[in-house]
Amino acid sequence: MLKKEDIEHLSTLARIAISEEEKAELAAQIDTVLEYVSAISKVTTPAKDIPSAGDLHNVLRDDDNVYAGGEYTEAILTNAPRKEDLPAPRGATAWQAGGYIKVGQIM
Amino acid sequence: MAVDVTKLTIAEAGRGLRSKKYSAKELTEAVLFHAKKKNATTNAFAEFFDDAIAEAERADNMLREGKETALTGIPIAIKDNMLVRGKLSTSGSKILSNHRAVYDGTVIKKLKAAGAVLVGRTNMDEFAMGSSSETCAWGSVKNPADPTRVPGGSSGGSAAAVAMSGALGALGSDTGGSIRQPAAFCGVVGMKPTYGAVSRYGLMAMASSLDQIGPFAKTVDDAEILYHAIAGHDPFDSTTFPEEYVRKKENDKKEKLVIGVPESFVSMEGIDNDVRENFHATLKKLAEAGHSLRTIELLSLPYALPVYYVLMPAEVSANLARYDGIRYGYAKDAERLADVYRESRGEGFGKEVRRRILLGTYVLSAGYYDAYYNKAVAVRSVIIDELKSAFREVDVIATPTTTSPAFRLGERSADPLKMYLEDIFTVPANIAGIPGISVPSGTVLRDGTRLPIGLQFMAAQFEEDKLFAIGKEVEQVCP
Repeated sequence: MLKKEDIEHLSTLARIAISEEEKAELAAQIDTVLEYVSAISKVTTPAKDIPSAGDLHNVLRDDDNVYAGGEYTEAILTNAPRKEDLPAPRGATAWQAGGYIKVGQIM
Repeated sequence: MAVDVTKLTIAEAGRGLRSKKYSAKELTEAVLFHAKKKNATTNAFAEFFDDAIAEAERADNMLREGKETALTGIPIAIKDNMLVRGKLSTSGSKILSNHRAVYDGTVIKKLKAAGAVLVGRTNMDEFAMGSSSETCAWGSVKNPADPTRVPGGSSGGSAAAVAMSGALGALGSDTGGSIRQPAAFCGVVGMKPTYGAVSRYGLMAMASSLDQIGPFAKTVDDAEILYHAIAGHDPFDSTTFPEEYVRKKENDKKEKLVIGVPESFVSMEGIDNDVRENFHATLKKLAEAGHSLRTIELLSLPYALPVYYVLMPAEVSANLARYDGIRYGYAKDAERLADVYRESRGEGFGKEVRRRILLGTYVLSAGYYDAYYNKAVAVRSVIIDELKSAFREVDVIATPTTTSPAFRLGERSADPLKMYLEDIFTVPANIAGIPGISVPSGTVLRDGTRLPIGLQFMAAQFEEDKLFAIGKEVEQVCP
């Protein structure tokens, strides 16, 4: 059975704030689903439990720029909740001047 | 001239446009007028695109110059999780309420190049998580056949848009049944292509090993036209297959098909009696038309749904990490970065999305990873193998698309597991990466209203042609 603390731990891992009243409800609902999906333990699967990749294979391409620099900068910045205009850093190309997405304090 | 859109198909409209019975502009105006009227009841559309008429005029130019395709001038609706450059693109979520697409997804690029007219974006369950289109942040979608009932989901808006003739075709996405189930509930054709047949570039990812874009249409013929317009290799989606896989040769066409019927799977409890009767009656008609029925035993099929409810939330929890209040969408201001994430996501995501992210985080967390995620991946291989061997004996596998006709609004939203069981017949195709189609197979009477139901066929990888062929047969026997 999931406890309130388990939901708190998961909400920390997933970076989602969960209200007090919702914690118990979520614990019960996730429990029900986990009980349902545990049916998979009844299926005999090959002993080598590392799933085979089947006929999948890697697809690679050259590591070059698909888009011209700055092509989407303005449109992307329009979507950003917080932004700031700063001068281009030394040595930067012209299109890097101007728009930056602003983030809060990290430490 | 006034165009009656209610019975109009893509194929028929194409003929009308080419023979100049009406222009693309007149057709688009007629469809939009009708769509707006119906939308007041169904809420299928989140937005009607204001440049649709301009697009129709471009289509008229293509027609004049003889450069038209089967989709030129055809009004198409787009699920709100596919990027259309410059348009709002929200996935039915508050967290993306002000998000504008920076580029066109590959399917959109292809539709525009073909001259299709994009009339609007359709409402959906938030981030495609749901089977009723009730988790949409912009209000529930209602079933055009009975507005007290759900249209199915998650692509409920696209299904309803086509059913109410608010568009002649639509695109949806299908991760566990999100095209086929609403198609069945709304009485239209819905098809999920082979995994890797259609590019997902510009589709908001839900569960990347399962997601696939596909068409909604009034007829199988129309669905086939739309499928061919969007399928093909794309360097921007490395899961797409090379062209030669997607474009099948014409020469292996068979007149009569062997239909596999997984009897024990379709006769388990919880399936509506009328649905089961319709299923068997339709199969009988197909047999009378010369196709053969073969009972098959697929013991792993009932495990597809539990496998899905491990893999899907696991992938959801990773894919939705990008919605963090930094680059786009809803943002809650906080002193520390970690709190910006926590608060933006806590407030921006709806309940079902939060539930699935936490569930996915759980099955991927240390100590549970092997028992849930790895085990589910292993069982997935068992299901794939069993289906592969079944397709050595049969051309297609038939099941009902859903266990019941459309249920009432609110009837299942309190019990997540009950809602999840909606996907029992549709999920196996996603788990195995094979194509599936739902075709209307009649109606059942509920409280004085005739409600549509659907018949589903699955085929082996890249055997879409067989699905279209058998689908057209169903249209013959279920007029």
